[in-house]
Amino acid sequence: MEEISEAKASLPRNVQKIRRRYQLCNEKGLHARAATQFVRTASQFDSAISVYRDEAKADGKSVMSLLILAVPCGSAVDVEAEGTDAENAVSSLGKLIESGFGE
Amino acid sequence: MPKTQFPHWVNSLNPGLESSLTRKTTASTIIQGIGAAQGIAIGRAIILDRRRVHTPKAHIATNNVQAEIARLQSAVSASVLQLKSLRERVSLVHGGEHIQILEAHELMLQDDMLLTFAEEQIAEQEINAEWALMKALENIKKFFNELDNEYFRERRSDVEFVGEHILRNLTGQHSKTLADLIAQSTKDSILVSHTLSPSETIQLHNSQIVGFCMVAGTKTAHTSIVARSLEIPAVVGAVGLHQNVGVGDQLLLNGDTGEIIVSPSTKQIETHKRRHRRIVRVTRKLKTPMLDEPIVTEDGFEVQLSSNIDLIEEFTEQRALAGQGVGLFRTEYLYLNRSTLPTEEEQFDTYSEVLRRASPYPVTIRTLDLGGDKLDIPTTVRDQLNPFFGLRAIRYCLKEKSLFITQLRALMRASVHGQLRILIPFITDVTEIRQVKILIEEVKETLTKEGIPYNTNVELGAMVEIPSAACISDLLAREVEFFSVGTNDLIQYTLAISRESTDLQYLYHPLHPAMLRMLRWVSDAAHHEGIRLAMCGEMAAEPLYSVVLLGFRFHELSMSPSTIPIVREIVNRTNLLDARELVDGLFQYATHTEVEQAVLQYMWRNFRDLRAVLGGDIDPK
Repeated sequence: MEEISEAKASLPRNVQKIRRRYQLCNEKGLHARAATQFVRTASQFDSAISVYRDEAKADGKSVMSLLILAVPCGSAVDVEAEGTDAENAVSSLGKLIESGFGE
Repeated sequence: MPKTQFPHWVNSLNPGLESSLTRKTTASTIIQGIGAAQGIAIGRAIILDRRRVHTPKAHIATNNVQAEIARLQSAVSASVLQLKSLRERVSLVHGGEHIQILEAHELMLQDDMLLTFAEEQIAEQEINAEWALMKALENIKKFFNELDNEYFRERRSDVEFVGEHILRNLTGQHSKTLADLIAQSTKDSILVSHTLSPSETIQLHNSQIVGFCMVAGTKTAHTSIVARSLEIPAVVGAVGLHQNVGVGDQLLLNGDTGEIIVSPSTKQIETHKRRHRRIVRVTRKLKTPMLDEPIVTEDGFEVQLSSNIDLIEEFTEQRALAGQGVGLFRTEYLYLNRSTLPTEEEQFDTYSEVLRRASPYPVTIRTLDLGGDKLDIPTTVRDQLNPFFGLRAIRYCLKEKSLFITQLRALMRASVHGQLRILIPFITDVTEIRQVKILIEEVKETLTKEGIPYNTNVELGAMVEIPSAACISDLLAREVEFFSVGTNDLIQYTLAISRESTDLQYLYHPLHPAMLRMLRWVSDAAHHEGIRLAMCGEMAAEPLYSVVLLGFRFHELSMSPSTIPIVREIVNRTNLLDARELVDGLFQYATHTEVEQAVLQYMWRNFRDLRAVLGGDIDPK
């Protein structure tokens, strides 16, 4: 896990934008089951969630969008949250990724 | 249910690529598909009308936009509720993978990517909800179609299922066809369909439907996974199903072998049932294989049992069954069903991943084994006259050098990630292998210049699948580090049997005296030059022939992962000297029938407990 950027300057109070990089360690990458769990967790937060693989970006609350991102096992993704609960969102999603989606 | 599959190997001439054949026997028709979930089902055919939902397309008045959006939303809510109730119903009886697939579909039903797009279409284009939904689905499928990774690309079928579900709720054309079929079905029905969604498959659970078969589908599709998880015998990829099966036809469906028999005879039913019962009994008895334990004969001769693998997804099964590496990784899938050639990077990623996953065991990757006629890619060289004798495999690659060099570069670059063996298909002549070696040297030189690392110890092998290669195996053996014998093609070319001809199947015998002689030449040549001898054809997957192959001194047998435990058991219990004696003895017989009798007698005598899986079409006298 590594901190990429933390830009707060231009954002209103209480709204944070946090982006961190995680390594996918489960067997199949961000496949259907993993994407389902990711979206379920992401949807618990008010923040907008994005997932980046290199240049490509996906909506962290959309299974279809995450599947189209086609993240194979072993790749790194950036998880970004923007909102009042951004910190909680990113760390919860990070834990999920690092646990290998409970596999 | 044990995960063991016994390829009925007359019909699996080229598993994967052309797995569907139809053949007529005296009274009944046999349709060959892919066994997706094990077991035998016997019953009457019921046919699911899979005509697409009719989609009315219409423009709407501006003041109806909000109402139309609301109509879409309520169709979505209804769909979510239906899936939820289905999920609750089945989760009472079963946990597992099929539940997770339903959960994914539930989320996809409410996916912003689908709904926001559709709602925007309704508002901006002023069109009805059905039309907007179709547009949204097409938009999403476009993204999936462009994905290189097979697993992720296949998820477009999930998008289709989800879309169809909403569409049925919108139009009121409920999928009552399946529900009705299930309700009206009598005891022991077999469902025949063009496609079946995972959620529909789940509805078969605890119904009168004892098995299903469909035209579409692959072994790794979600529908197949659900069928395995619910233990419903299933055959997928059965082309010719609709042409050969009518409502009420008596069907025998064999999920082990992928066969569907229309109007089976009593004898056929008995044979299949007996065979399956024995398979279940025998595989249950086989001890759970230990990983990383060498596979040796009774007298300590080590044999490598590796897997034939097409998709990276198959690795889990392969590891679970203790395969030692990959004896054949086909690369055709990288090239098929697409309009551009796979890039070097893309191939590098795939090969690296296979090598990493198999490590520390070696992986044999076969270079492209297709002709230009099979590719959707505009190429300069094409030959459509007779693909089996035509410009294909290495012949094609040596003509389309840039395509081949891209593959060789990707392979060499990936070689640092494991133990790579490169296998060249369709070799007929020493010149071909020499040309390949020159190209590989060129690739290595360029890589060195570019400072890109590669493994200097990559082994190069020739596929022995054409009689000329077997004849000159003494000369070929001096050029390569290993041979891999492809029995399917070797039999076909040696005995001049066409794939399509059902009348000639009587000739299709791996133990034909001509085959024995050819195997002896190849084996002698390999051992004389001290190179590795491997087999990746279907013959390696037939437990009946395991001892014969040991007798021919094969170092490696590569097969579909599910067969490994049985072959392993036979290897463990065989003495190499006995095996060689058996093989020597076979050369006295003039006909394949006599040879088969002798082998069968030996196997039945020595492996009484495994008789079920040895096949017993001919009773030993």
